[in-house]
Amino acid sequence: MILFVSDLHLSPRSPGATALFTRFLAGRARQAEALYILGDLFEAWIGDDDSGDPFNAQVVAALRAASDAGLKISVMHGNRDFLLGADFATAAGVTLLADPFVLSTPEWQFVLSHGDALCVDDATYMAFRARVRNPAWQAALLAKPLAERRAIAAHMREVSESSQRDKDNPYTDLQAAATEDFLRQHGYATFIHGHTHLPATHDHIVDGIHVERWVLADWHEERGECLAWDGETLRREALLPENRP
Amino acid sequence: MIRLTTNHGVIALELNAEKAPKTVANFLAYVEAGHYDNTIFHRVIRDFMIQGGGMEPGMIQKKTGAPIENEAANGLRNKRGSIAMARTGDPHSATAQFFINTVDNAFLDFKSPSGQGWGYCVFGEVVDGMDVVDKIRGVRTGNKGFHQDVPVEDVIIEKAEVV
Repeated sequence: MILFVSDLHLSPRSPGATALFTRFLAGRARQAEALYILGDLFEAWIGDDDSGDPFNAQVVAALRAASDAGLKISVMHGNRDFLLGADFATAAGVTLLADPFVLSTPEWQFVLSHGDALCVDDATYMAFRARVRNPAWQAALLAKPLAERRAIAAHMREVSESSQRDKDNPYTDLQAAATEDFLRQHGYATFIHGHTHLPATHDHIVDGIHVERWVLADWHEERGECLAWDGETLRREALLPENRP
Repeated sequence: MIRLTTNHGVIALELNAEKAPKTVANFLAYVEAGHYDNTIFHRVIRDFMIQGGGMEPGMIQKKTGAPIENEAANGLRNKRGSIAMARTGDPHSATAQFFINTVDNAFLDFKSPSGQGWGYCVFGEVVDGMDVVDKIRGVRTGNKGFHQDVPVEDVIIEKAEVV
């Protein structure tokens, strides 16, 4: 069994989603061999040297415990946590994945991506993405003190939230032509991605070949979702909070 | 009155519609829809409570309706024999799952209308069949999947009815 999740956007402001994820790591995920986190695990990540932050430390420890228990965890960068680095990966016991990543299983071929690179219709976002994914820009940012990075991240969040306010859905969808090219380049493999917060399963016909595209769901305080591959089919599983006293 | 017929015997409940009108209306709607028939007490902790109403045998979660407002500020206490609504971390998230307190659990009572302070809404009490509750609280439990405190042998609510 292989599980896929994305867009958890974990932060101290999302205790519900964080609880769902830690329970998922301690429970459901351990019935699988591998877990792929396809971007935006964290709402923000300002550098691996911020792992001492109690919230970050809690999530890293939960990943580590699942990894130590034998779950193979792979993490891809999203548009929020693009600064996740090697020290984080070591501490959490996870492998960082390139985007896109081709996942070949004995039964089937998948191509995994966060998805934002295909939102080429949003020129402003693509310019932002090119800047923040530039290693030189990242190195310059990481050279700044943590406090300054924290302020920059807060500012970036404000800018992004104010620019999203006038849009119905702040997330631009993937461009159809770019997606078709992408599917062609990746041998018509089943495409799994997140980013858009528009969970759905799409059927594409590319060069006469049927290709499935599974868009992962974003997580909420009261609901998470994973996609499970059992060697034959992909199935969405809702992750709901437990009722308690 | 509500009669819960379980495979351990009958539990009779008196609901307090005066103190918890929305919670009682919600519970009655689930009873009348047959929602609780063939559900289990899936979480049993002897000196705490027995919780049920949301899972079928085999730990299959049942679909529920919309969550309801938390009426825990009604002055009813989570004392032994009282029935209250289970919920998630959101104070106003109770749907179908309920629990019967097996001991006095004052820490579950309403304290303040914020976060942890909301507590759990009591909406009735066991008026007959507390011996059945005590039988259920004593069953052997273990882990099932990633759920804890699950009875090893299913404790089934065969039928829930208004009498």
